[in-house]
Amino acid sequence: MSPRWTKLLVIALALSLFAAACGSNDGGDEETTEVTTGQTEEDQQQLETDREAGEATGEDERDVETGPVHGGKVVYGIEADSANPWAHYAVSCAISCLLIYRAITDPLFLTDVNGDIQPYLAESLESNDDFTQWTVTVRDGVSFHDGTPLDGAAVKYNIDTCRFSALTGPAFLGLEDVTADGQTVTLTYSAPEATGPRSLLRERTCGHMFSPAWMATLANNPLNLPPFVTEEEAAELDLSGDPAAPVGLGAFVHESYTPGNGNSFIATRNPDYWRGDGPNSLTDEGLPYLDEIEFVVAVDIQGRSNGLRAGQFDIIHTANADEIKKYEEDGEFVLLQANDFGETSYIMLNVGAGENPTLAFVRGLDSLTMDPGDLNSASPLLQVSCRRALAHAIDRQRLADERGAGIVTPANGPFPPGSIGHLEDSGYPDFDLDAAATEWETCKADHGSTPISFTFNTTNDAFNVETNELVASMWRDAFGDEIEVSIAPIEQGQYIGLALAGAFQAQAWRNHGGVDPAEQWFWWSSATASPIDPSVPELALNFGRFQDPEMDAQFTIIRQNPDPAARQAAAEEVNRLFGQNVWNFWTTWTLWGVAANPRIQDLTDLEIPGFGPTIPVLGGRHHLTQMWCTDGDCQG
Amino acid sequence: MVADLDSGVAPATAATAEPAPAAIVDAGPENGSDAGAGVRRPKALGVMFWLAVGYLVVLVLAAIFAEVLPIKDPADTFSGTAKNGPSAEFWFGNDGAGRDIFSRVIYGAQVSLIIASVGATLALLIGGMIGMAAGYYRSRVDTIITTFTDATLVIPPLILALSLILFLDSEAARRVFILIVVFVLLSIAPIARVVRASTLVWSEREFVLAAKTMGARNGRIMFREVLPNVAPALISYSLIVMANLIVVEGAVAFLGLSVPPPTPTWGDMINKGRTDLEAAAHISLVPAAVMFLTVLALNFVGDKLQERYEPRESVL
Repeated sequence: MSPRWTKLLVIALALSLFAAACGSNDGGDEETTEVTTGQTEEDQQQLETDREAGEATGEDERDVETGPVHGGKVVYGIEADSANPWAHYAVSCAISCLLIYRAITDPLFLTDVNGDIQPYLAESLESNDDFTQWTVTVRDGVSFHDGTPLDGAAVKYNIDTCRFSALTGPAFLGLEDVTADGQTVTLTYSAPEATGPRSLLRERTCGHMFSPAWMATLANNPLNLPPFVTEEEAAELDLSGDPAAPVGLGAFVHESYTPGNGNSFIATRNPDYWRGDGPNSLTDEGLPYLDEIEFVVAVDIQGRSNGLRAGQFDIIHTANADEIKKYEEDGEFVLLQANDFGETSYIMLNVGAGENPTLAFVRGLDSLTMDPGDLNSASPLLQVSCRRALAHAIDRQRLADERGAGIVTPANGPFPPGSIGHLEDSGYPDFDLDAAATEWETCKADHGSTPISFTFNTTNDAFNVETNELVASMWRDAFGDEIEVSIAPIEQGQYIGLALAGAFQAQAWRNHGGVDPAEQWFWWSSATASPIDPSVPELALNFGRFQDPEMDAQFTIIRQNPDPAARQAAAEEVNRLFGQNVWNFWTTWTLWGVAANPRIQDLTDLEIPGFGPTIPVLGGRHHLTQMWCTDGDCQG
Repeated sequence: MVADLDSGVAPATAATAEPAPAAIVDAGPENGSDAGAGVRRPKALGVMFWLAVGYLVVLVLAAIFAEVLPIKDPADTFSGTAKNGPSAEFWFGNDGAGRDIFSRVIYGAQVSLIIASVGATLALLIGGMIGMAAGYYRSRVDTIITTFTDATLVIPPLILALSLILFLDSEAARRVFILIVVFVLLSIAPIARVVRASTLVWSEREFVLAAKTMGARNGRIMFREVLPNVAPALISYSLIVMANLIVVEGAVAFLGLSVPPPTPTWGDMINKGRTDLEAAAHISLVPAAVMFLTVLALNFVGDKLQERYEPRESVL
């Protein structure tokens, strides 16, 4: 072929690609479906009102003419893979991980539609008079997928692996002893725990139960290491178990897992589920309805969304407001939107410095240096004046409008509207360039040199990078050449690890959804602010590594005082402390969207036996056990 | 020069002893025409060639003088303009963060052109020498080099680029350097093959044989006799290599592995506009069109120059 014809061919191909890119890919003109999303104008108005108030629950309110049907396979496009899968004491468990947990196992407690935590695998929870001892009784007759019975010993084993793990252990600080007897397990605390273990053992990482027989064969199990076993005993243990092949007791049984973007976790129907219709069913409810569920990691939101539109996925989740808005305007898919008890989007700051007497006391040391390698000592973010100046320079309303499609609202603290501790005015710095300039002068004096420079990590998702470039540009607009911000896009798999290790200065983040402020204490406690020491390595749940005795005191009230008014006042004070000290730059309240092929029914409303429906969508997660497909065929 | 010759006498150099190679081509009979017709007139390059050259010159000048041009800072965001289409103030519209796409396209050219031109130049030097050695010495040297280049060419370039970037790179600050190294490694093999082929032809020519007969050393023959004849085709091919490197850089940037933000690159701009293709297609399409035109122009110019300087058996 002559060069001229080759060029013409190239041009024609390029033009056709352009045309394809410009064209609508909704496919709605040609394809019709007998199933509708059932969204009315009134529903939309109600949703907007709820969303504004932070009370969008994400409930699937479609009217269904027929009852549930067994059969079908659902493919769920999830936003990320999980590092160190799948044992709860080791995995970096964010929303995608917790969704998979909901398929393969169950927690001891579940959150109901009112935000109250109710027994689920547990039958009851009782405490002594001073709340230092709590006894959980678990259902009799429930078995793990490998046949191991769920009893007090199994629950104790689960709790022990979590409390002695370097990753999850800090969340169990204060828990002194765990004993098991028959179907009961008793937890003894060194100080009163007014809400008991329910918030830790609900549908969060360590609330989910896994087979002790499986965990006993895992090399990374802390109970398989000294001091729990001697070196000799450890050498003789059978550690041939596969941590990537979890054994739970849930509605679906792990079938296969391949790590990495584009790969999947497949789970098939558990015929002997305790809420099923098998010989060991306790409720004869026939759950689950689906034959199989596959979770496919699709990190890029555009790829995930295109996958749903193309039929590759049947459900996706996203916290990308732009994408949620597109589905809102597209009646072809079911869309659940939820921000009730939701998360906050923010920029997390590493302020680890000085000594940590609280953690030193916990560890029985004389002193503990937070930054022995001086890795963070030059960060300007250690200065509260710099943090305040930078906070004043962020136009959160603009972020909400331009990067949140106008459907999210600016955040002013860790507690969203409707949550205990939320304040209309938390004292967090407003967008005010004059105030920013004043604080900036103090910042420069405090820091001692200009330009003020730091690295700002973001996930490598193009949308997130651009959002954080906008934040950086706001700082440049306010402070000109006196600020240098290096934006570092980080691969998703490393992201949580950097936060745990303290290897960051500023990092875009999303967290703190929950129904009770007691659930948050370990994120912000001095006792969980481990040093920045890669040589150890230290893992901190208080990622920002700030220490504040006043914050610790407020959480003592929240954890120990059963009086709701006192707990609310303490939570509000926590909010104000964040406002004063600016340990994080709050940006917006997170809105989660779950978009699905309309053949998937009952996306929400799993019933808790004896306690009514569960909360529909909490922190972007909904239950999977109750889902079914029209005619038992999810793709149609 | 004297030391190069065994006789110790400085004769006329091979180059001066032979007619200039270009003159040979130009003076030779063309398609069996009468040798007495005189010097062949070079084929006209055409309007499209000069349009392509003009486009490239404007692009290169804009990229070099971007700092002094009256355009907006590519990192500045303008409130209320996110995803707006072209306007009098923002000729190419605004991206998702409200930045001026026109200015980002020009600054984006800096990265693409620097990486592509430096990469192609270094690859030209290294690949050129390797290819000349293979084509001139032949036998075992040729076998070894050809095996190496063939082996390299078997691996898909984008896969090789991504693997090398991930393997070599640890800090975003060094990304430009790493990208250049990777692109040089990618380009050596194809350039070496082209140069080898050209050298095989030229090293059989009479003036080369004459130089050998006169006792000129191999190095001297390669650089004084062969290289001047291989160079025109090589330089024109390097433009095609540059075009390829711009595309590879775009692909790497699209995957988020090129220079870190906020430095704009065309591939990164296309990537960031991807989510808005339905509502604001210009965010992706403008940088895509500029990249397309640049690659087309480089290919066109390279093709034309290659046609012009390509040695033809009939002429030789």
